[in-house]
Amino acid sequence: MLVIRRRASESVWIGEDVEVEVLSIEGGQVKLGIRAPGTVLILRQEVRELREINQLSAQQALSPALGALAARFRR
Amino acid sequence: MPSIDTKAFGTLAYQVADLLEFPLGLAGFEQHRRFLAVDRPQSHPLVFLQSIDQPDLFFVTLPPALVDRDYELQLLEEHREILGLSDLSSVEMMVLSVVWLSADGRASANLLGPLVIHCPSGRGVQAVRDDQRYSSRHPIEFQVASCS
Repeated sequence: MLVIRRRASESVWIGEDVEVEVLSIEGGQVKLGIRAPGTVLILRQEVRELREINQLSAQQALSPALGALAARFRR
Repeated sequence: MPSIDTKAFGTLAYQVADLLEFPLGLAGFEQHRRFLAVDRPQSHPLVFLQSIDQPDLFFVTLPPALVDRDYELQLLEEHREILGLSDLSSVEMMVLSVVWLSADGRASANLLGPLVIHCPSGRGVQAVRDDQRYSSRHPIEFQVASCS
């Protein structure tokens, strides 16, 4: 992992058209400003994780295991 | 009465008031905004979240308190705005965790981003937490009955 130290109002560039600026640092939280083309998807890590697990969880048919799963919570 | 021909549950007739509206959709399913909560007696307490916009899509969910009895909901300001809530304590909410049934027969519940539905309005949001307190893949132990 590339590690770079930055202060508030300083920025880094990723490629030719993505700029990440440190806007402020307060109480353990860093506020970032990102300038990027609209085609670049920008996600918080936890939202990216949600997208992955939602894709995995999307169902099209009723699984035979559902009955056992439901019974698990009726005991 | 409107109805939808679903792949898993056959034809579901519903009242417009039963529709759940997720203004932002679900993560990765941002275009899916309208759902029905299907509660079948044989599957209780599981709740199926059936997409209105895509009849062959649904999610299996259950209340997170069933897998972690101490589960504490965290609603951020952005989630409250979507739900139209100013006061959290006095409102009726339904909280559901999406369940992942993996191909190898294991199950887990997503406690990182529960679905929170404001019952009086039917508005919902996938309320992703920012505190890393819970997993998106909290394991659920269960056994499929077998002949032996």
